[in-house]
Amino acid sequence: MLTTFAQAAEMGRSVVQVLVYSQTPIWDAPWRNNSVGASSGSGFVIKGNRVMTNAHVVGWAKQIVLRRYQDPRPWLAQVEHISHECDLAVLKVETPGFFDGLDSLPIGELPKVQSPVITCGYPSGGEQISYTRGVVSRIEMQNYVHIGNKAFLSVQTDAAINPGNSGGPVFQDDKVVGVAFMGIPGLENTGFFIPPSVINHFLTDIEDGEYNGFPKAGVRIVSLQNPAYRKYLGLPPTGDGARIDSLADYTEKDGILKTDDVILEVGGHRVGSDGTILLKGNRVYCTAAFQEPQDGGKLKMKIWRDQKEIDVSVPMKVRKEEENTGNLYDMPPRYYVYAGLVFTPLTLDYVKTFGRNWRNVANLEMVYELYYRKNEKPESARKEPVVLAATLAHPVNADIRLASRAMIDKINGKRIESLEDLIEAFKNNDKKQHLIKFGSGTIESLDTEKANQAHKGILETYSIPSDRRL
Amino acid sequence: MTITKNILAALALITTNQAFSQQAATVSPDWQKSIVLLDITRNNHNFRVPWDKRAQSASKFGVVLEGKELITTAIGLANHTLIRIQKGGRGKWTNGKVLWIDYQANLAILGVEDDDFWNDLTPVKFADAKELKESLQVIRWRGGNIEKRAAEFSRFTVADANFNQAPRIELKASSEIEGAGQAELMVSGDKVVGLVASKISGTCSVIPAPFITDVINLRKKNNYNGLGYFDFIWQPASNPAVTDYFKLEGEPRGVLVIKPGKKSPLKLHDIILEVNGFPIDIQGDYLDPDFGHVIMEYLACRHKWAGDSVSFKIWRDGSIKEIEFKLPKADFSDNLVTDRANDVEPTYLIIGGLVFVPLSAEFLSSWGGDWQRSAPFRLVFYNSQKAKKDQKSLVVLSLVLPDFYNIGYQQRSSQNIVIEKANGKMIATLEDLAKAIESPKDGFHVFEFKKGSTLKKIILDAEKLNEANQRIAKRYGISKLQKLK
Repeated sequence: MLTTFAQAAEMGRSVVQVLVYSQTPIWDAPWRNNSVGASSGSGFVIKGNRVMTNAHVVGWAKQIVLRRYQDPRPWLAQVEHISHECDLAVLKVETPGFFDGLDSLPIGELPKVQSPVITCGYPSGGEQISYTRGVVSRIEMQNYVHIGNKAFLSVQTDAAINPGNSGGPVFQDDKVVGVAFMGIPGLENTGFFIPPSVINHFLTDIEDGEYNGFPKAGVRIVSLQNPAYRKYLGLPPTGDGARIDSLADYTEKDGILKTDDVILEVGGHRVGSDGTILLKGNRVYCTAAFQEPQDGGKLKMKIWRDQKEIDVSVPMKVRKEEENTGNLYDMPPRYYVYAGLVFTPLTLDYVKTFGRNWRNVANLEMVYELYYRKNEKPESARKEPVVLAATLAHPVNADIRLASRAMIDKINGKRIESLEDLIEAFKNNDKKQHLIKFGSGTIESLDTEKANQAHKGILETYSIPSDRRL
Repeated sequence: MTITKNILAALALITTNQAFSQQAATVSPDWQKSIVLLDITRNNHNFRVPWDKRAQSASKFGVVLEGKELITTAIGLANHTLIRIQKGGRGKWTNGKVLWIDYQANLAILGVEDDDFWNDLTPVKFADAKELKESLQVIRWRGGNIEKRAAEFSRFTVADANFNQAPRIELKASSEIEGAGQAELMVSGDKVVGLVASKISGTCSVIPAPFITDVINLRKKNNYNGLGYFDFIWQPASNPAVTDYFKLEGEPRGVLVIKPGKKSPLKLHDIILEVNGFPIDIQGDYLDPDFGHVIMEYLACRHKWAGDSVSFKIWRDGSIKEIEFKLPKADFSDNLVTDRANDVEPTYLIIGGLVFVPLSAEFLSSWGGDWQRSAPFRLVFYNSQKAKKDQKSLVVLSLVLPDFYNIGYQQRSSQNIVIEKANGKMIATLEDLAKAIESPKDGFHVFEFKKGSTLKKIILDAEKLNEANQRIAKRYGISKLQKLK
């Protein structure tokens, strides 16, 4: 059913503008921050006197101010819960009286392809609330660009979604059926919004006052369409079921799922041989079903293994193993500065400081460590790979040639698994020199006594408030 | 080996030689009689479509030697099908053939069967090490006439590994000559200073005459064993705290071995103080009597060849030791990514549309000059690794020729992945793979790829393989489904 003008206008009263001042850290000088930037987005009132918006609207925020429909007063808000992976946040409002006269907007169902929707928010190009109309173009799993390394269900529409719309609601009938959140540069008439299933998952997750995240099965699922492969597994040449091609290290250790398991059904959805399920009339990749349970929940699956169908119940857990390959937010970078040597964990945010073409600039070991080692040689993977990000020049470290952008292997003979390891390795050294071994095999050294003496002075010279942030 | 740098030649050498060079410059030989035009046709292979070849023609130059021979650079001669030679810049073409070639040294010697060809050709004289810097000119045929362009000496450098390349001394000279790099002559007075191997923007890289003379003489004596190299990796020891750590007595000097090679007796954290009597400085350079400060890698080739002995003075375990090192041939056989095999057609094995090729330097190079960036990262990363005992080389599934037989494996995720096992057997070469295919398991061929690959496993129907092979060969116009050697 079409959303009527009156309905949209009425619901629009609960749509707010979110004005944010934010400051992002400098990942290769982690005690410093970039200059404060102003940005704006949209949000809307949900039940429980809260405002929902996008995580990317309020990430790294120093101050969040809300503006109500046709109300000039500023209202101070704060992030209550935020999910950077699914790009949603819930705000609470500090200034009393904000919710007076505002209705909370109910969350509806996943809209059907071709059905009409209206977006509402405060996009750039003007000051006042703006409505645009369009239809649902398609529904698919999409990479969510805010986190960068995860895909969730996403709805594409031809209703204009522009900067400033982010966090605003998408209406159908008298309900919110999505949160507008991104466009794709270069594509016209394509905007994307977050569907109700993802919104509700987030809202349910935070009901206990804590955000856990989306659990992960840790499996790579591939299509099972080759008749020979199907025969090999004892299945008819055509039919349902997608194959587990490989397992993450932790999944292998759990021992519940195995490679060459054929997933016939997941969470009650039949899985096609191309790895898709039918979700409310849409064929979407079956990982959508894996994202339905909450952290600690179970996912029921029908599996074809050893020539027979079995039922398994897979415990679903939130996994932090791949956090460093996605964008990080709101947690200032960890670092340790010793005698002018700046150490920080290897993260995507760090390597992005090399520039847009960071993959060409970063050395091979670094790219391998960040993206490949965990999958190929999990036994040799480090909990938190550490890099020498920069060297703050001082006579004590001036002879060090390899002064930045280098992976740390060992310090004083100790294999470095985390920043804490590194601090300890420097602290516990009783030799006259510190010996730093890099991932490439290169060795550098510091005179222990001189380094200890210079340490404080260097922090002062370069105005580093503390030698560490852990 | 991995450390490349360019150092200006010592100025002292220039002044002492000036008088001699100027004298030489007054003689003006007739270069027309010493340089010939070569027209080379070769099969150019695309290693990603290994059954496909494309004939390509290119022009180069050859220089007349004593004994009715020509010398040119080796580059561009691989897989040649025809060499035509023209003297005097015009007229008749004569067939030539390669008598000797070494791609590492980048030199080739050509012969002509027709004895009359050599009438009115004059062999060149090569300059010695002291005569390489003054009054340089680049000489070649251009539109039927000799073209002479001035060049200015810049420096000597040691060219380093683009893939598995032995270190070589190069003379760098700037010149405005266009499109050089086809073995043009670089001369000074009446002597040949070198052959122009390549030119990037305004700078010519020249193979210097003393190196060419050495190679020619050794070949004459049938004593050329190829280039040697240092198979270890070192780092400069310019940080005094590092040499202090290893308790090196005296002034900081030498370089630190950080990755020992299998063929040399050097150990991890040896400090190399001297090579062949030349002290090594903390940058890893030494003072060459001919070329000034150059990187110590060059001591693997300075009048030394594969099999020759090089002496090292090193600091190990708190004392100075002298060790001898027999230079290994620069064939890089201990690398995981196999070396450039020149004059060999690409090998491959097509199984049911799955195209397998060795992970080789040529295969990676097929991504172009910046293959290190444009080739798939995972494959590039193997290039930095040494061969392992149970897998000395690797085989890649490079592409899939679509046929319903291999449906399900036609996505990008099944391209450029490295195979681990076929039918349960470890695969290091195409021969291993061909052999493994002879024994399917219960009617299936099972291919397993390396852990972490974008696809871990492929199964094919063994019974229908032959039929599929025939169909695929016909559909894609491939005359041979395999070329192993």
